[in-house]
Amino acid sequence: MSHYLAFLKKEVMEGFRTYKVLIMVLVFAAFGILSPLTAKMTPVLLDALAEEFTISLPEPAAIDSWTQFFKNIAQMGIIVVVIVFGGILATELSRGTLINMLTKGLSRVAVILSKYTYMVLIWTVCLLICFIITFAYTSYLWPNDEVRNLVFSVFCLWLFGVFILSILLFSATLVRGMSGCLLMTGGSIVVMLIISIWPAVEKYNPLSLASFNVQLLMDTYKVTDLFWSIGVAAVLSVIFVTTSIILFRKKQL
Amino acid sequence: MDSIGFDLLKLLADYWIFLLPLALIQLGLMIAALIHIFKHANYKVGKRWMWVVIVCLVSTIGPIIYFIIGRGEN
Repeated sequence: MSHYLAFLKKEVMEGFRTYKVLIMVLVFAAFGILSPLTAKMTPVLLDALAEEFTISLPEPAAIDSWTQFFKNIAQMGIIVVVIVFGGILATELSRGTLINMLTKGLSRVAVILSKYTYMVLIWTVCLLICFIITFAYTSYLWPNDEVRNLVFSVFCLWLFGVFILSILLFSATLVRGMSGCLLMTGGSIVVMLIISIWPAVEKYNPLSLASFNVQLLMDTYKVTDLFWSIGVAAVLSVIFVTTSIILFRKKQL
Repeated sequence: MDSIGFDLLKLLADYWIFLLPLALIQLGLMIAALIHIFKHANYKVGKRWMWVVIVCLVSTIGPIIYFIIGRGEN
């Protein structure tokens, strides 16, 4: 436990020193501002650019802002997270700094668990910052608009991120380099995308957590329909983290 | 500017509440990257002048690329 906390502290310190935390926080803050801005500006821009033929667009509403939010985070946000954390094990293994600590008795379980906690921690903080900013702008711009299941919808997106991070951790213990780790994580998302074509599996696919957020807000998708996806994502995350621990304990460094 | 239907000043007046924080984020990233560039002599890839140009000219993405690809180890 003391190993775990000490290593977690070291990870967080390293995150600040290598500017990773700064970049993530600023990028997610920018997403938070851009989402309501895009929602508000799209009709204005289209109107200005296509003067000769009038396009009648509905007035932007809070739902447009949240559509942008979920689109940005589920696509760009996840990509940024995966790229920033792609070298979570690879850099330390290639530099050899981890081997020193491990031979001096640092527990391997503590290393894996604290790395995972660190990634989930940063993801949570970034998502929260982005959410608060978008929420503030949206409720300022459209104070009368109401959306439903907002917190639940954001929770689903958060859980999807946690799930992706567990895949990332698993890939990092399985393959050596950073590129392999990124490739494997990207590949698993592609697999989920391919599976999602099959309607029967949609209910269980973790990807549903990041693709039905807007429908949840509009109440066209039921909260209970996502319970299976939540369960599958949670169980798979635990399995991936446990397997990473087992793999890393046996790994030749 | 009339041909596009809105002018820059009106845009700034309408959207400063978005644009100001975005500009601050962009400026903050740029300054952090520049400080780092001038404090360190070695980079993983490229030379100092190259990174200064990239960080100053490519907004937001430039500093991020520097911190991820170019940042040297002490």
